[in-house]
Amino acid sequence: MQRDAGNEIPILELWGRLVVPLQGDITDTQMEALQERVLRRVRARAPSGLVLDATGVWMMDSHLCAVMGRLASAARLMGTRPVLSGLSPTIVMTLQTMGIELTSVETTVSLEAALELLGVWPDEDDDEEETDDER
Amino acid sequence: MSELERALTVLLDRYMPAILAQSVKRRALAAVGVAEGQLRDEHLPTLRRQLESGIRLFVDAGAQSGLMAEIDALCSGRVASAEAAVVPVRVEADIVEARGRARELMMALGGGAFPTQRAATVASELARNIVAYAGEGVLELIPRPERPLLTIVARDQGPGIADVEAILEGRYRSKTGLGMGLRGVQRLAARFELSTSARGTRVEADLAI
Repeated sequence: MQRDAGNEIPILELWGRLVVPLQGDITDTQMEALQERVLRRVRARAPSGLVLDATGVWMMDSHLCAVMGRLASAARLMGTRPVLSGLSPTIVMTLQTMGIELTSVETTVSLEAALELLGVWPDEDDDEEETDDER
Repeated sequence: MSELERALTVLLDRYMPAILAQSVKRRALAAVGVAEGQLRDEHLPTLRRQLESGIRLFVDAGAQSGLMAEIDALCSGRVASAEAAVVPVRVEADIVEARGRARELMMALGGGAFPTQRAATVASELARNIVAYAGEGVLELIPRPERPLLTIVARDQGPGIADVEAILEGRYRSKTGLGMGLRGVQRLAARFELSTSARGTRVEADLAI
């Protein structure tokens, strides 16, 4: 358990939405800890959405899938809309072959699409926005 | 560029004009998803198949088998990692180790992204079942390059799996999501055998490439 302390999965806050960038090989302990931390943050910050971004995940088995589904359901129960983004083709095909369905959570093709679904829209006038950001 | 990549370049150059050799190598690397200069030993078996299609196009028919034999010699000298592995499984870190080894071995056998994912997932499911239900056991990962496939055997002396027929027929739905794992393994495997009793469980699964 101590071993995982150093590689805690970050929870980011972007425009009032929580974003969890999942990376690489996720251990059961990391995922359990994450579940609790995310729900605490949801409670404290009342975000208008929660994105679990799986773009960087290389493997997802039935257990990780179940924990992810539970986390999403719990967030929804607390009043925050959960979205799972960026599942890789190989993960999706493997889960499908296994007969595992992830129906408890909305999915999007990318992190960007997830944020758009949660109502974050890029400024139409890109140039102006960039100059705003730089200030 | 690695020593390996240089050796491969020199080899290809001997059989075809340099510009074709470079093109064959580049196409094969791109198909495997490896950037130029990043070639490593574990990519070789997959790369071999990609190189072969290029070689069939550009190398004189009589010389093709000689070149492939030289590439095989390069591969066999390198891929010593495709040896059977026995992973003791007791704690959570062993699950990570088991799926990592399955992944490496499948790649060493020349498996692409999907077979590699299947092998890692099967190893993960079987190792987790051991940790969760048996407490202790082993996972054997046996590469069979002659078939080619990867055999994964999970053995434990736990209390056995109750209602295994219901699990495998999908009639069983546990609240924790377990049970889905074993059925998933069965569906991912090209061959699946399970024997379970009060004295332990043995699962054997062949993963195709």
